[in-house]
Amino acid sequence: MRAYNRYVISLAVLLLLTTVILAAAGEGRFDLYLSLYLVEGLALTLLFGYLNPRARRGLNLIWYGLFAGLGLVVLDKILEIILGISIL
Amino acid sequence: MTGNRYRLLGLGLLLAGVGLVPVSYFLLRSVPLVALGLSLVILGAVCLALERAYPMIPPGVSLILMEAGLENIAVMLEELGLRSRAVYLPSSLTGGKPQALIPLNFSDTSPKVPTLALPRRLIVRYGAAADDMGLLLFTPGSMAVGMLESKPGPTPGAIEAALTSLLVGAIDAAGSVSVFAHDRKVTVQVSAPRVEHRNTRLHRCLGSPLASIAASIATEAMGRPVIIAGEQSGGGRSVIELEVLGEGL
Repeated sequence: MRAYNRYVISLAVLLLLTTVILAAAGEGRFDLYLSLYLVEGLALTLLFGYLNPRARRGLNLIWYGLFAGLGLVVLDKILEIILGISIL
Repeated sequence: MTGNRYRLLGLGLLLAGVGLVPVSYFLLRSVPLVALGLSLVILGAVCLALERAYPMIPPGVSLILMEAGLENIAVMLEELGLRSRAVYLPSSLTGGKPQALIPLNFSDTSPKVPTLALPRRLIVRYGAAADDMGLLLFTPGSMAVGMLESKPGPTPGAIEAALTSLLVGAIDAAGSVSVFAHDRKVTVQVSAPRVEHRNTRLHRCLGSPLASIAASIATEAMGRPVIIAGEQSGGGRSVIELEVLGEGL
C-alpha cells in the first residue's frame, strides 16, 4: 500500500533527522527527544488522516503510549523538584 | 510492501530498538543513542500496527474478482444491446447500497429519474411509461461506499474527504482527489490514478471503476441521482464530470 509506505518512510525520516540534529547540537535531555517524537508522530498521523480506520486506531494507540511515557518523565521531574525524589 | 513484510520489518525494528536502549543507557551512557533506540521501537510498533490493518485479500486476488464481475456485466450489456448511460441512485432509492440504473431504451437526453424507492431486482420499472424499464446493477462504487465510516455530507469538501479516504487510503487507487461543484455539475479530479479507463461499452455505460466510485459517493452524499457526464484521462490525472439530476438543488 503506497499510503502506508509513505507514512512509514516520512516517520523514519522525521525521527532520524530529529535525532541527528539534536545529537549534533549536543542535546542530552531525553524528555526533549521524547516530546519532539510525539509531536512529529501526532502531526504526521493527522496529515495521513485518510488511512483506514483500523490503521489509525493502531497508530493512535502508539502515540497515546508515547504520551503516557512523556507524562511519566514530566512527573518524575516534578517530584524531583518538589520532593527531591526520582521514580525513574 | 505486503502485510507480511510489514510484520518482519516491524519485528526487526522493535527488537533492534529494544536491544539498543539498555546498551546505550547502561553501557554507553549516551542519551542520543537511547533516543535512537526509542525511535526504532516507535517505527517497529508503527509497522506492526499497519500490518494489522493490511487488507486480508491480496490486491491481485481483488483485481481478478473485480475483473470477473465487470466482465459479467459487460457481457450482459453486450447481449442486451444497452447503450444508455447509467443513472447512479442513492441508497434511499434502492433500499440498500447505491446502485446504477441502466435504462433499457436508448435516449440522448437526460433519463427520467425515479422518485420512489425501486424494488431490489435486476430488471425494474422506474416510471409510469411502458418503456420505463431498466437494469439495476451493483457497481464497484456500490461496494466502495460500504467501506466508508459514515455517510458523507453533501458539500464538495465532504465528498472530497470521503473520496480521498477511499481512493487514497483504503483501496490505494489514486494519489490525491479534488472535488469542485458548480450548480448541478460536480468535477472530480483524480491525480495519479492507478485504475485505467478503457473505451468499452461497459465503461461508456457505467464509467470507469474510479468514475463509478466517484458517482456512487456523490449520489449517496447528495441523496440525488447522478450521471457520469464525461471522463477524461491523460497527463497523470483523470477528470470526471458528474451531473446531478432531480429537483431541490
